[in-house]
Amino acid sequence: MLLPAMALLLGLTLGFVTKATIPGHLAPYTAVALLAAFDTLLGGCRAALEGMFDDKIFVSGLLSNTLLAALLAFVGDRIGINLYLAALVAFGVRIFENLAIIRRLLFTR
Amino acid sequence: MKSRARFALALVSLFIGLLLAVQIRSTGNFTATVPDLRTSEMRVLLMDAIRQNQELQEDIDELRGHLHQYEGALTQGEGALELLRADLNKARILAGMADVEGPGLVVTMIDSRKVATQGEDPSVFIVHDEDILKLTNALFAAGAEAISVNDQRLLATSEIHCAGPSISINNTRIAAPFVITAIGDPDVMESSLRMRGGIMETLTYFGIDVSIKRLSTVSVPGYSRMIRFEWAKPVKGGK
Repeated sequence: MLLPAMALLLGLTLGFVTKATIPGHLAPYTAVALLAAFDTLLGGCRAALEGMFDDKIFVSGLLSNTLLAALLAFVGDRIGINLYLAALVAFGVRIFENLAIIRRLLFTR
Repeated sequence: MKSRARFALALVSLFIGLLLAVQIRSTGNFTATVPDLRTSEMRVLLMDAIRQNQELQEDIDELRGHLHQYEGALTQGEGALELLRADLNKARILAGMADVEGPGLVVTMIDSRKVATQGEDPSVFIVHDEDILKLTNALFAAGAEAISVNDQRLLATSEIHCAGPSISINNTRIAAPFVITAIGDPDVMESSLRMRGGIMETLTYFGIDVSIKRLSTVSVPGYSRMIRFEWAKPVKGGK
C-alpha cells in the first residue's frame, strides 16, 4: 500500500509544479472523471487486499468509469440537466463503501 | 499483494494525483478571477466603467481639438495669445479669482431677536459658523457655481470657522448680518434650502431671521489676494 500512496504524492507534486491548467468550461468534466478514477483506485485496492485483483478488470473499470462519468456530465450539459450529479452521488457512495471494506480487511487480517 | 497489482495501483495513483493537482490549480484560478459580487452589482460597475470610459474619450477629443487650435494658431502666429487669454479667463473663473455675475440668490441671516428666557442657552439664537457652512454646502449641492459670504468668495481653500464673536472666512473676520450670494439655478437652490427637514427649517426653528431673495443678476466678487502654495507642489509627470 506504500507504493500507491507515494505515487499519489509524486503525482500531486508534479501537478503543482507544472504549469498546465484545465480550461474553466472543462473543469466540471475532469472533476467528475477524477472522482470516477478515485473510486476505481479504491476498488482496486480493495480487490488487491482480497487477493482477487485482476488487471484487465481494473484497467477496463478505470477507463469505462472515467469516460462514462465525463460523458454523463457532457450529455447533461447539452440537455440542461445536471446529470453529473448522478455520477457524483454514485461514485461518492461507492468510495465510502470501498473505504469501509478496506478498513475492515486491514483490521481483520 | 501481487507486484503487478501494486504497480497498476501506483500508476493510477500517480495519474489521479496529477489530475487532482491540476484540477485544484485550475479551479483555484477560476474562482480567483470571479469575485463574490453579485452579477447585478458587477453589471452596475461595468456600466459605470463604460460611461467613465466614454467621458474620458470625450475629454480626449476635446483636448485634441484644443491642441489643433493651438497648432493652427501657432502657424498663424498672433492668434495663440488670444487663445491663451481665453484660457486664462476660464481658469480665473474656475479658481475664483474673477468677479462673476449671473442669476442666483441672496440669502441674509440675522441673529435671532428672541430673548433667551431663564434656562435657555442664548448661544442657540445666534448665527454660528456651522449654520453658514451647512447653508453654503446645501447651495453647492444644489449646483451653485460661485458663492460669497459678505463678499468673501468661497474657494477650494476657504474655511468657515468660528472666531469668537465673529466668523472667519478666507482668514477674514466677518460679522452679522451675513449676506450669502450664490450664482446658480435660483429655483433649484431655493427649493434645496426650503426642503422639508432642510437648513431653513432648522434656522427658523431657533428664530434666526433668514431671508431668501431671488435675483436675475447677482454678482460674486473674486478672491482679491494671492493664493500662495507653500507646501503643495505639483507632481512632476502628473496630469
